[in-house]
Amino acid sequence: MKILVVEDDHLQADWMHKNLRIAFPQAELFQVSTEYEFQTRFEELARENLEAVVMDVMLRWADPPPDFSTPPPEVQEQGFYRAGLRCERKLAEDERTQAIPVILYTVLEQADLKNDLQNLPDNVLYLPKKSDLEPVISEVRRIMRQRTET
Amino acid sequence: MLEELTQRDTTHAHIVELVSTALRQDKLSGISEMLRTVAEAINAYGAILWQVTPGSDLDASPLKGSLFVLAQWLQDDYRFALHDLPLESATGEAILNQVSVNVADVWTDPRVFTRTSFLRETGVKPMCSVPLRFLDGGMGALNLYRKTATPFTETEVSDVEQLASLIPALYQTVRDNVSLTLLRGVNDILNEAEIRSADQPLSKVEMKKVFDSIVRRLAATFQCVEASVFLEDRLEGTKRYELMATTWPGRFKKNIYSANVREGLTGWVLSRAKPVKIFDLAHFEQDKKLIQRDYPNLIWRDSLDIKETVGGFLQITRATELPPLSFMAVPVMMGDKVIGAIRCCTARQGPYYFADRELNLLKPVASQIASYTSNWMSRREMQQENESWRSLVQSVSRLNTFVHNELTRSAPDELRIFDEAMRVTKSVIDGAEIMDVRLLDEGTKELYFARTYGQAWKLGDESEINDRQRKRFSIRGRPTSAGAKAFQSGQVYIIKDVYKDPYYSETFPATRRMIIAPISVEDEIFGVLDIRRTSAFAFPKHAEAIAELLGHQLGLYHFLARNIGRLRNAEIRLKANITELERMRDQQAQTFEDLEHQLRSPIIQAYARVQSLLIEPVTIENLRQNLKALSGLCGKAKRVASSAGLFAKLARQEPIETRKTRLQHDNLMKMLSETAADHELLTDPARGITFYIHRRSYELLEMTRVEVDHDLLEQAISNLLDNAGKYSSKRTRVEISWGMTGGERFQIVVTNKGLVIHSSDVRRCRDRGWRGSIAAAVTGEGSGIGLWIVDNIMTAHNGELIIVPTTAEGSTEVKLVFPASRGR
Repeated sequence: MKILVVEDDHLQADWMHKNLRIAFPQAELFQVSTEYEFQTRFEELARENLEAVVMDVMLRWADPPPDFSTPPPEVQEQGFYRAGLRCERKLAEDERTQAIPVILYTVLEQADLKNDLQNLPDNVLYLPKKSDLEPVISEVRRIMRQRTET
Repeated sequence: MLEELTQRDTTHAHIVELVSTALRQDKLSGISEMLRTVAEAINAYGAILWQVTPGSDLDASPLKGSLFVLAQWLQDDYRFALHDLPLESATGEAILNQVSVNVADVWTDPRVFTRTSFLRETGVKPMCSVPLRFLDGGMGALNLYRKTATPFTETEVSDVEQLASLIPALYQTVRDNVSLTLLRGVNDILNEAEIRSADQPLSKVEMKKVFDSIVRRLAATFQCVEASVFLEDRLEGTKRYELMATTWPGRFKKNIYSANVREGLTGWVLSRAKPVKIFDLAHFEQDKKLIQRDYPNLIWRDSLDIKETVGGFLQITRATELPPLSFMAVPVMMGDKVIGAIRCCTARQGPYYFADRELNLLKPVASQIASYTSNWMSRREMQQENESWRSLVQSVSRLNTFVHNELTRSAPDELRIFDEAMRVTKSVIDGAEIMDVRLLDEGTKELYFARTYGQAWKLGDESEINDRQRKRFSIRGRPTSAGAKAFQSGQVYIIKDVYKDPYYSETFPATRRMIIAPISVEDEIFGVLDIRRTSAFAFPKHAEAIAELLGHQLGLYHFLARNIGRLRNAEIRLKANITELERMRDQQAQTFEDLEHQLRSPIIQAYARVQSLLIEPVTIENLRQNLKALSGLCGKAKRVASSAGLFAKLARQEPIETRKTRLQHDNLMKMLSETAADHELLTDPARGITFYIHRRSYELLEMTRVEVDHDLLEQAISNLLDNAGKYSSKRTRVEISWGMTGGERFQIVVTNKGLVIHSSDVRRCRDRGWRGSIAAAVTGEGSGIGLWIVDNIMTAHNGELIIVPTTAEGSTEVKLVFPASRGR
């Protein structure tokens, strides 16, 4: 199984990787730390046949220079608060990736994302960040079961 | 006896006929008809009435004077108008001796003066001359002539004597009748004109037609070539007398007179307000001494060559046989003011002389004209005034609309309002030529030209125009200009003659009159409205009231424009403040939200790690790692929580309170080490950023006293290291150092390489909520309050946050500078 984790906080990312590895020892885990990295590695990621994506919603755009690239107008306008949703939209717009289940994993309350969550496709799920990664793990398991059954 | 009775009856019949004839006359020339009656009574060819020339002296030796033809009747309408028949003649003898002279043959009688064309051309032979005395004391004679050789009989002479004795009285009767007829006629003309002007006064053109009727009536009455009326039109100026109507057949060289003796006979009458009567203009120069005795300084210049001109009109080719070119003129008076003159000149037919009788007849006509003209002038002035007020009301209404439109524009221009107001002024005040609006410069207390109107402002070269426009008028102390006078008094100031006004300071040499109206609202005066006229004519009477009203209007507009401008600015500022407050409110809300997320994230992570530790098997390495992570997370949570508290306090504009204690070396090092370690942990190790503390000896802080609030100091250092960690380039080192500045203050310095801070951004870095665009892109979380909090912490310590712009080598320094004192 291939799981992509999109998370800019390295401590959070480390902890998620550690627990996902325990839960899914056979899984291949991928890591993306910034929205810019997601955009630039998208083709590569699209070819990986990912089976699940755990997406942080608030992502910084890029690392400081010299690796910095000026964000596009949409990013400048909306800011980092909706970076994860932009990445999710990119996945949905590509037929190679549009069916990949996405778990929006964020400290933002559901009320904060009310408008954004309204028209999400069925393969996208919102989960609030908690001290326990079990809800994420359970959801990944469900995804695996569903894939097996189809 | 019977013959005597018959003769008496005949004479009586002649007398009756003469009386009847006289009573039928309605013209002065009716005297000719009376002479005809006399001539026909004795079968004479004709009759001539002679009079002694005014100024003659019959007692002088030698005799002084002459005789002139006063009137005549000759069978074939022959015209003869000699006016200097010598007294040494048959007629003169009759007058001198007061005895009739009967001449059988004029050609043989030595007494007869035969050097006249009359005797030659008519072929007259016998004549008789009967003396008579006019009712005004003047002496004359009635001469009868025959072409046939039959001399006049004694009976006939006696008849003539009887008839002649009646002529003066009858002539007076004719005069009286003519006077009444004339006055009635003039009255009818003026009454008819009154009726026509019931609704509105006649126009000047129509008035001239009225006077044309009058002068024709005068000319018909006096049988004169010229009857003219001159009148003053107050609306066009005073002491300016314009020709209203005349019967003179030719063209005058002068149609307008002023009240000046140098302007001839009419000018004399107008200036002296007295009538003039000249017997014979053709002899003016010879008789000048005598004339000037009665009329001091009276002059006359024959600009028309009057003898030839009149000779042409009367078709008399021999200048010597012209009648006296008599002239009379009376002033037209309204009270004691001269408003015009009537003049008559040169009788076409007898009586060829304007006596006092005729002059006195002209006076009541002048009174009638004066009365009517006065009414007409008043009504015309009233009409003009009403029109002006009506026009003003309409104009002010339009002006108000203009002002409203201007004031509702986004950027109202008061100067356009002034321009429009001056256009209105020109349309409602007749004679307003050069205008301007002067406003007060509050700083210098001078009036300056804010706006000007009229071509005169553009006269001259550029330097002259600029000098004129830049002229200023002080209002301090005693007024030194008419504008200052009006401004200080708050009243309209009128200058009737700039040459005589004590305050006038010349801006335009051609100005003759001026109205200056204050521009004011209640007691506040903003400036003055100047209205100038270059002609000597007065402004209309209502101009002053209109100027005052316009001054008040301009004051109101100025007041509104100024206050609307202020209100607009206040509104703009208010809107800006509201926008700013809304922005700050939104920013504040966002900041709290950010702080909440920044707090929740490390707490959730910390809790998760603790739970893991409790569940999982513990190894030393695992424990150390997790504890280090916990330290970093808790440090972050602590910093965020502290930031939230400080942000709330500062947002309420409360000061940060400090509890300061002396900074010790060990405390400082511990604080720096722990904070650096925490931040290094929080930084993604993949980026390879390290934190390094430069060490110094104990001595510095032993020898120097630095007072700090340790919690706040830790917060400040943590904020700087957080920024350094977020904005440093990968594989760089964040360096922390401390020591004394050049100015004997204590500083802690954080140096890193990464995001560039330009000198232009140094100030903005400390602004609440500001983040550079790149900073926002590389960090995500955060509200731009970190350095703002640090700046406030340093202010609370009487210290300073110094941000040094990124150097060419790419290093950025941020310094916390504290006051310090030497000593243990």
